[in-house]
Amino acid sequence: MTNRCTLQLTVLLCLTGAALSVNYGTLRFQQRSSNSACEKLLWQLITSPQHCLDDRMDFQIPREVEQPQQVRKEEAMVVMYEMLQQIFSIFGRGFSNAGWNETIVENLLEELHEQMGRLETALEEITKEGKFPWENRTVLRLKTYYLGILQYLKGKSYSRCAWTVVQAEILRNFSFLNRLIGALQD
Amino acid sequence: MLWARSAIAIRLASLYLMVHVGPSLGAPQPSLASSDESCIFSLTLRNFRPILSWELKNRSIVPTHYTLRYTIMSKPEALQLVPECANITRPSCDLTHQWHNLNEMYLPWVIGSRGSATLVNCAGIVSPFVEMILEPPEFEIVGFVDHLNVILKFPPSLPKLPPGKGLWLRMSLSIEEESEGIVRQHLLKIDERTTGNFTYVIDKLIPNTNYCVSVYLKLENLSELRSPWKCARLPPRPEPVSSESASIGGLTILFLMVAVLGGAVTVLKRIGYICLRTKFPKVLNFDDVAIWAFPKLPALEAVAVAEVIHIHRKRKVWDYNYDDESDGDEEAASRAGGGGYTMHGLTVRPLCPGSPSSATLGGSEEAESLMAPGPKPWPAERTSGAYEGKGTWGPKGTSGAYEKEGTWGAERTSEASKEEEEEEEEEEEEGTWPADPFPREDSGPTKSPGDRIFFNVDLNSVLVKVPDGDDSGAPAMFCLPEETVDADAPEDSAAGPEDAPFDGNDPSRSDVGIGDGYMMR
Repeated sequence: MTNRCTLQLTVLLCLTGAALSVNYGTLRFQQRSSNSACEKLLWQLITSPQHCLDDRMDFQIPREVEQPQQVRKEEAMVVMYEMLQQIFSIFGRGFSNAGWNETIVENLLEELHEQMGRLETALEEITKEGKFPWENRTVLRLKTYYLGILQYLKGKSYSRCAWTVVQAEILRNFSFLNRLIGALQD
Repeated sequence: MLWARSAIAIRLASLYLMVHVGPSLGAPQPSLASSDESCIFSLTLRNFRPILSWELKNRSIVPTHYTLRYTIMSKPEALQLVPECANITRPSCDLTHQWHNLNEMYLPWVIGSRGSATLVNCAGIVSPFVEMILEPPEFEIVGFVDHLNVILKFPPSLPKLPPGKGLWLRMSLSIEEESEGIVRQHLLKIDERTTGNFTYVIDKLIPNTNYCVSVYLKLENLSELRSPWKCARLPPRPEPVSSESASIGGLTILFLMVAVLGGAVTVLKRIGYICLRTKFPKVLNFDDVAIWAFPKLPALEAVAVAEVIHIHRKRKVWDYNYDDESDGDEEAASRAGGGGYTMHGLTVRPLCPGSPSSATLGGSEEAESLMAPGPKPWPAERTSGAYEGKGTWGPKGTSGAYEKEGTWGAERTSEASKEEEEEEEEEEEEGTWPADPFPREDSGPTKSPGDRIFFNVDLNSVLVKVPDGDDSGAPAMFCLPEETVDADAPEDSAAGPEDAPFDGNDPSRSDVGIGDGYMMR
C-alpha cells in the first residue's frame, strides 16, 4: 500500500514537473514568429537611408552576439531578454520625435513586450532550477552597447538620419536574435 | 554696332563649348545624394549566388548600360564599384564575392546611361535576411515501386569565400512529398558538400500511388519560394505472393517426391526386392573348406507309385443278439459321410445282396492299405503275414470269426487284444509301418510318435484287395456297390467307391468299435 502510494506521488510529481518546466520548442516557435513580425514592422519604418550616409556609426555590437558560438539556452534567454528590453527602451524614447507611423510603432512595441513576457516566465523557471547564469559578461557588454546607441542619438539630437542609422542597427539586432532563438533546444 | 556683333559670337561659342566640351570637362557627376528611388531592387539567391536585379519604375526610360555601386549601413564606408557590373547591358549583377553577410544592410546605387547621358540614377536599400529570395534548385523525380528518387541539380562547386562567409550558410532544403492529401516534409542541411547532382531517396511509399514533390530553401525567417510540383505514379508491386507461393509449392513438391522415393527405395530394400545381399556370411563360404569335410550325400530316394489298399473294417460288438445283424451296417452307413476322406472314422457302406463281388469279398476279404514311401517296395509277404500273423485283420482271424458263430464276443475279444499287442510290438521293432488306411486331413505323410508314418488317403480312390489264399468263404457283411475287386487281380490304386470291407466277425477289434470311429494299431 505504501509502495503504491509512493509510486503514484512520484508519477504525479514527474508529470507536474514536465508540465511546469519550460517548453523550449514552443518558446522557440513563438519567439521566432514574434521576431519575424518585428523585423517586418521595423523595415517599414526605415526610409531613404542613402541620404544619411554621413551619419553612419559603427556601434560595435558584442562579437558573441554577432556570431554566437555554442551558447547555452539559459544564457541565450538572458541575452535575448536584455536585448529586447533595451530595444523597447530605445524605441520608447523616440516615439514622439521621429515622425514615424504610430500604428507601426505601437505594434512593434507590443511584439517586443510579448517576447519579453514569455522570456520572463522562462527565466523564472530556470532561476528556480538554479540554472540562472548570474555571471554573464555578455549582458554587461550589451548594456554598454545600447548605452552607446543612446548617446549617439543624444549627440545627433535625435535627428532623422540618426534615427535611420539606429533603425538599421536595431534591424541587425533582430537578425542576431534569430540566431539566439535557435539555441533554445530541448 | 561692333559691340553687339561680338556679344553674339561669344554666346554662340559658349553654347558650343557647353554642348560638346562640357561633359569632358567634368560635368556634375551623378551622386548617391542626388539619386532617387526610381528603381526597384530585388536580391535572389540562385545556385548559392546572390543576384541583384533592378527594374525601373518608369518603363519608358530604357538605358543601354548600367553601372552598379554599393555601400553598407553598419559602417561609414565609401561606395564601392562592382567591376563585374560596370557598364553592363543587363539589369542584374552577381554579387557572390561582394555580398556575403546575411545580417548586413546594403545600399546599392545604379546609374543607367545611354551613351554619355545618364538616364537613371537610383539607389536603394537591400537587407538579405529580410527580403532575399531563395530560388529553389532544379530537380527531377524517378518513381519506383516503393520509393522515389529526387535528383537535385546543384552547382558543380560553391563560391570560394573566406570561412564563415556566404549567404547560403545556415540554409536548409525542404523536400515535400504529397499523396492523397497527406504531405510529408524532408529537410536537408546545405553545406559545402552539397554540390553537383544530389539524389535524395524517399522510401516507404505505397506502390501504384500518385506522388507529387516540391522543393524550396529555408533560411531563418525568409519567405519560402516553392518550386512547381512534379508528380509521378509509382508502378504496382509485382505479385510476390504468387512467386513466393510458387517457390514454396515447388520446394514442397520436391521434398515430398524425395521423401516418397526414399521411402519406396527403403521398403524395397527391406523386403529384398532390390539390393539383394550378395555377400553371404562367412559360414556359408565353402571355397576354402576341404571336400572331405562334407560327408557323402546319400543317394536320391527312389520314388515309386504307392498302391493304396484301403481296409474297411466294421466293428460290431456282438450283443448276443443273433437276430439283428444289420444294426452294425446301419450304424456304419449312418456314419458314412458324403465325402471320401476320413481321418479317424470309417466309411462303411452296406453290402448289396446278390452281388458277385460280395461273395468274393466276403469274410475272406481283406483290404489292406499299403503305402511304401521307402526305397524298398513293401514286402507283400510281410504285409500279408503281418496282417495275418496278428490276426487283427487277417483272414484267419476273420475267417475264424466268421466260421465260428457263437464264438463271437469274448474269444474274439481276447484274440484281438493279443493280436494288437503283437502288432504294436512288431511296429516297434520294425520302426516303420506301411500305411495308414485312414488318411487324415492333410494328404502328406505324417509321423506319429513311435516313428509311425500316416498317410492321408482319399477313400474314393481306395481299392479292396483280396489277399492270396484267403478263400474263407465267409459271408459278406457289407456291400460295395460301385466296384468289385477281384482278389487275384493285381493291386491297383484306381479310385473306386468307398470300399469298406466289413469285418464284423473280428472279435479282436470289438474293443475299438465303430462307434468312436478310431482304428487301433
